[in-house]
Amino acid sequence: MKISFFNIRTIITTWFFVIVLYCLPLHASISVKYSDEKSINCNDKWHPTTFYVVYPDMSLTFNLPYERDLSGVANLFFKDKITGTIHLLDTIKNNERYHNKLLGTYDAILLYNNGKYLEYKNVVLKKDEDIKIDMENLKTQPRCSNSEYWLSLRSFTDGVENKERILKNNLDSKKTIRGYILIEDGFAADFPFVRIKRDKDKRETNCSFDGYFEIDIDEPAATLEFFCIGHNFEQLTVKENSGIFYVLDSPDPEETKNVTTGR
Amino acid sequence: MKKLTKKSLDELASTMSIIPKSELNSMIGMYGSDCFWRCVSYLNTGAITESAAASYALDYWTSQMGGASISADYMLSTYGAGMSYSDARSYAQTHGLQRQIIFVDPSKISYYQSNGYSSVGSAGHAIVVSSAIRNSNGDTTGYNVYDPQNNLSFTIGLSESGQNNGTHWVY
Repeated sequence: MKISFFNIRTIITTWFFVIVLYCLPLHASISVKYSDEKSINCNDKWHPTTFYVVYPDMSLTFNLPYERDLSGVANLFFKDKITGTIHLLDTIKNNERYHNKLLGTYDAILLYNNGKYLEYKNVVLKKDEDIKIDMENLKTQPRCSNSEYWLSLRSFTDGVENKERILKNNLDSKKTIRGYILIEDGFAADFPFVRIKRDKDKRETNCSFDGYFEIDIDEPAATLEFFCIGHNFEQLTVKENSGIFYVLDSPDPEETKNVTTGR
Repeated sequence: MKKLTKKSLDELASTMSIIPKSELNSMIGMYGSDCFWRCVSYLNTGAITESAAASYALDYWTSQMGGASISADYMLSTYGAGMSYSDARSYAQTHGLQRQIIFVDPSKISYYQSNGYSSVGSAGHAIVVSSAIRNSNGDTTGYNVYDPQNNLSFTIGLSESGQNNGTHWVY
């Protein structure tokens, strides 16, 4: 069969338009996805804008900057100023998650998945303090041998022993809050839950077996209530798209040491 | 309290009748205030009898008394097997029983009050937490608990589950 020049040109032109039309929606969707720079959750990368760490006798609020590389936050941890030891927020014992009790002077480090990081020096952690740490204007540090080691550590959202977490909601919000609820003197299993405090359209989510939760909020900020059997309701007002590490207060053993089991 | 010595025990043995071990074992199991030990026994073996709980209590107090099982048995028989919060906490911590036993105040638990168990008293009563109760939306509405001492399974609501209602973990 003889193919004329005209036919070849028609075929090429047709395929050109097919390819262009095929690519247009993709291009459009990418533009929309990145339009709100401060609340992007693309793929499984996590881009919190605020991070709350709450202990019964101390709280820390980290304001986090927009990450231009969009690699996502891997971890938030502390480096002891004297020993140089790295302290994650939590520790795993017997496949159960506990919180680390931190007191002293540390450098707070926010590690991104690409190995770059932010370092806020000389954070003094002491009881009865409400500490605000503004990382927005910190210079991003390049990937280095230290940060490569830090990336090998368990990240903030990592589970325990590859055990699958069962979470209540399929997340579709860009305002998801991720975090943990733990108990001062030990792990909490899946007993705790967190819920949005409001009169209508209350939303609640349970913790997974290791205290991990994810909850969607549909407002720029919300007051969350945290509860576990044997503890009291506690609440915290948080911004959208943030991370939380919340340790519930426990009865003071000194106050209850004379209580005797009954009957 | 006068410290018992080997010599004084020998003197006691010469003047008092000796109970054979088999007979002694059948007598164990009569300790009062054993709710904590019922929970311990239930979580370890599933047994909820007085004698099963008593064996754990006797082991513990015998160890606390440096191996003097007769003294431990005397103390338990006289004063009961109730545990202070700090002792119970320490025991649970060292025996892998965290997040399983809670103390409740029965006078503030509706199930006890409405089912004729007022005799359970108002001191800290140890029971076992089984699971959280969730409605069709997945919201937590309360907790399933089990009282091995009374062989009762029931639920407690959220308002009964808080520390301000007298409910708290042993550990």
